[in-house]
Amino acid sequence: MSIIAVVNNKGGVGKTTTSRILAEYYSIVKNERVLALDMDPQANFSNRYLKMEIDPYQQEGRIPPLHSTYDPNSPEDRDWDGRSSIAGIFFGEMVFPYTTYIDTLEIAPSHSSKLLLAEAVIREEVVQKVYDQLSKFLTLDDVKNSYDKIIIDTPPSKGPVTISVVRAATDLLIPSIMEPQPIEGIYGMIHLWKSETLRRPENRPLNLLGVLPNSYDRRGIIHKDHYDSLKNEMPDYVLESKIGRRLIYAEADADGAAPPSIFMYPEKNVARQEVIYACQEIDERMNANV
Amino acid sequence: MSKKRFTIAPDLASGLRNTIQSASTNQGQLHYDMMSIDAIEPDPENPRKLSIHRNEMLNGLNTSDPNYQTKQADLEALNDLAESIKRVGVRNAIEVYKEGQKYRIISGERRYLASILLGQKSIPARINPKPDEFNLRYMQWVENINRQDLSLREKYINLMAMAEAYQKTHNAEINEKMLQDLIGISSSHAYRYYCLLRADKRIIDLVRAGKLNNLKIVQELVSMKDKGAREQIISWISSSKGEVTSLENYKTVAGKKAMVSKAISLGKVNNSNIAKYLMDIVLSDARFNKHQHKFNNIDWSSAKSISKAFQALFKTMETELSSEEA
Repeated sequence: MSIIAVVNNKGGVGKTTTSRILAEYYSIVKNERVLALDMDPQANFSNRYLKMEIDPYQQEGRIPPLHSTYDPNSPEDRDWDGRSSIAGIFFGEMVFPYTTYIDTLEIAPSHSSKLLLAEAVIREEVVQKVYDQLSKFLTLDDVKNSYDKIIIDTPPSKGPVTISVVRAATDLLIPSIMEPQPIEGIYGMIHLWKSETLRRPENRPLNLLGVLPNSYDRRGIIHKDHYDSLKNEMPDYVLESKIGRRLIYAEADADGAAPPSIFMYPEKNVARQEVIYACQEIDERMNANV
Repeated sequence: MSKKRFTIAPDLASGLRNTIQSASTNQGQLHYDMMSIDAIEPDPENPRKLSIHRNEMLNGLNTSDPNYQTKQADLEALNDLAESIKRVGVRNAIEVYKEGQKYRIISGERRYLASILLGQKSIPARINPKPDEFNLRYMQWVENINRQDLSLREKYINLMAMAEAYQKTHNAEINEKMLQDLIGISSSHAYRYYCLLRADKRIIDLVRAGKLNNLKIVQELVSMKDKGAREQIISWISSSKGEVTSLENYKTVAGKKAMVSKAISLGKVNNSNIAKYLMDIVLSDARFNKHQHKFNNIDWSSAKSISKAFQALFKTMETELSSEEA
């Protein structure tokens, strides 16, 4: 089972778009059993596959919908409110993934207020309460035997939740726009990768897949120049493929988009082709280091 | 005008490069974890061995124990450490390696015991690959050597373990130069440790008994040329009650200086006739009169000449008498 974490502490660089692409690539194209995890309190990743609800206690927050298997009249569900999120791992709750419109894709969605709470634990408690919780969850036999790939979308921060993701991951992917500020975010993530690499035993390395250029615009020179100089500094860790700046990604994100996944577009579609190319390169990089 | 080009800021660029470089060369070097106390066991051959056992630590000491005082001191030190752990936690991770089902301590036994005393369930640990015997002793040495409170006895045990392990793994005796390179100390300091390493059993017994706790004194003893004086000093130290911190007092009464202090001054006279009278009596003695010819040229009006003659006379007498005794 591979656990791919999509990280960058700068927001708006394409973490959720990349997570979607990977989750859908492995489930739709490769027909693998995929579990998507949304660790970002903004819950955008979850919203693509579930009808997230407004948190009655915190209007700007989102909570998962009632689970399809929830039966308020069943004695089994007496102690459960019918909603389950990946944030539950920080609070000793069970996690019940939700099914999606894709047969082999399941998702453990976000829960805004709980994830914000986990992010805010005081320093002394962090180790026990947050850092290791996700890896504990993902090493459960139930989880290991049920999925081939875990795809994790993360919050735009370097806080405890992101660290718990990095600790649990087998592979790290850093999407970034080829502009100065997002590239600073790359630096933060490379640091996180380094400290995790130093911390881990040698037989369980954290594979850095590299930087995936996102929202790449071929018309100007700024993206190309930054891409070239980044490639120059870290030649092994910048992907060849690029996700272009295209309206189609925004359209696929809209409610009621048809078709709902980029992989359901006609084969000749340029966007679909470049995304497939990127996913293939990522897949090769994963297998090269197994 | 040339077209504007963009590039990553130089400090960011070098930051990226260095971070990647460091990650790929140091993988697994800082493998830390919060580890369950139950998964950890102490090193049975730890050079910094405590006098008390784990159950004594937890159940209290027996006042009739002959080692009660040492144990009490060890327990108090552990309690102090526990108190600080309670306030700020274990600040420095202990070092362990996997041995069978358990993780064995390389360094940090006191932190481990103090944590048990506090009832802690886990402790931060750095997990090392299993070191070979020599590297294990070497790591313990490095950890211990700069401690203020490490006795020479403990240093000796560590040093011997390290030397023996070196012999086993490298099939060669450890020498002074190796000590210097290994421990990273000055050559004079390395020489002192080397002296400790090759000191004879009587000196080591003094170190073990805590009567010698100073590397410099050990060096002085080991490298003393006058074997007789050395033996004398060693027996003096073994009969002393506490630790010996200086050899100066011993040295003035043993060995070379002791011989000088046996000399007897024959005093002074102002009347040269007394000198002449004594000289005549001595030289008339059957044992000495064969030396008479050496004393024919004394200027009896010169005090200097007379004194010189007497020096020669005493020397002759000593030679003559000692050959007679032998």
